[in-house]
Amino acid sequence: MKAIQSRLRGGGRIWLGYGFAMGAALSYGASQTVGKHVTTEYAPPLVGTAFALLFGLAYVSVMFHRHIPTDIRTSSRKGFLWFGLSGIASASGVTFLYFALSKAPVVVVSPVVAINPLITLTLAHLLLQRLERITKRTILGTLLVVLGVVIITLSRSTS
Amino acid sequence: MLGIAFGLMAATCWGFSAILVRLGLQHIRPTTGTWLSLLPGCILVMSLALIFNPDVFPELTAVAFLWFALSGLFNFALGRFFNAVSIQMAGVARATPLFSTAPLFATILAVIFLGESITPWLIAGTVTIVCGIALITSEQAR
Repeated sequence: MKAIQSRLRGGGRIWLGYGFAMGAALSYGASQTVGKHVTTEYAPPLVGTAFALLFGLAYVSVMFHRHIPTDIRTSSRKGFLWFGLSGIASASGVTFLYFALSKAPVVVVSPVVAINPLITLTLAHLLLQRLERITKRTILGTLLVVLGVVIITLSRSTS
Repeated sequence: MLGIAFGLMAATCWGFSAILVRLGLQHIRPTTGTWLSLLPGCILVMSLALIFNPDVFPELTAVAFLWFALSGLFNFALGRFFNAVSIQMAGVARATPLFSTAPLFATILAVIFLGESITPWLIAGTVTIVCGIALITSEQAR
């Protein structure tokens, strides 16, 4: 990974980043399809997510077993803090989603949840001005993506 | 109303999560960062599952665990790791809208594997998403 990254500079690196982002979307999409089967056949969402997280942690522990102990010994504690809080925020998001779905139908909750890239963009503008450049093109593109996701989720949940 | 409020809280939590990953990547590589983000999440959600659904645990079958393993692979191993790498390489503002297109892929997979039908709304949504992605990625192509 590091070797690939060091050979890529500027545009190439960003395009690889886009490729990984689409890879993440495909993985999340596959997990939604699997998750739907899990929650309808085997377990409530909270239990399904808890075990999926446990298995995910096990996979990552095996996949990156060479990096993890070294990084834990040598890396800055700030990194631990930010990533730890990120994990808590992400898990809290999943929990709130389940609470939302228990109080309102999918057709109401899905579009609300789909706006999360807009919230991320706003937070990035407020908190990451030193690290991130947000342009009108990025904002417009994000709006279109959110609109498309809302159309798809609404059409699926009402059909 | 409460459902909408919880939905907004979920979206806000995920927004903060992406920002925190961006901050964390200044100090730790994505591999270890992914592991560090999964650990507290796992403890939190497992605790909540034990509190809210304690009676479900003894009834879980071996097949259920195979499905949990598959879900964990896609969502929390591959998805979370790709997510962190993409934020590191493309930045949080450009990567987040791209990986939030997951419902599109879920729908495509449902059409292929679950026999769901292709509707005009699905086509409209897909075209809109592709236009959005083209706008975001063209930023760098110029």
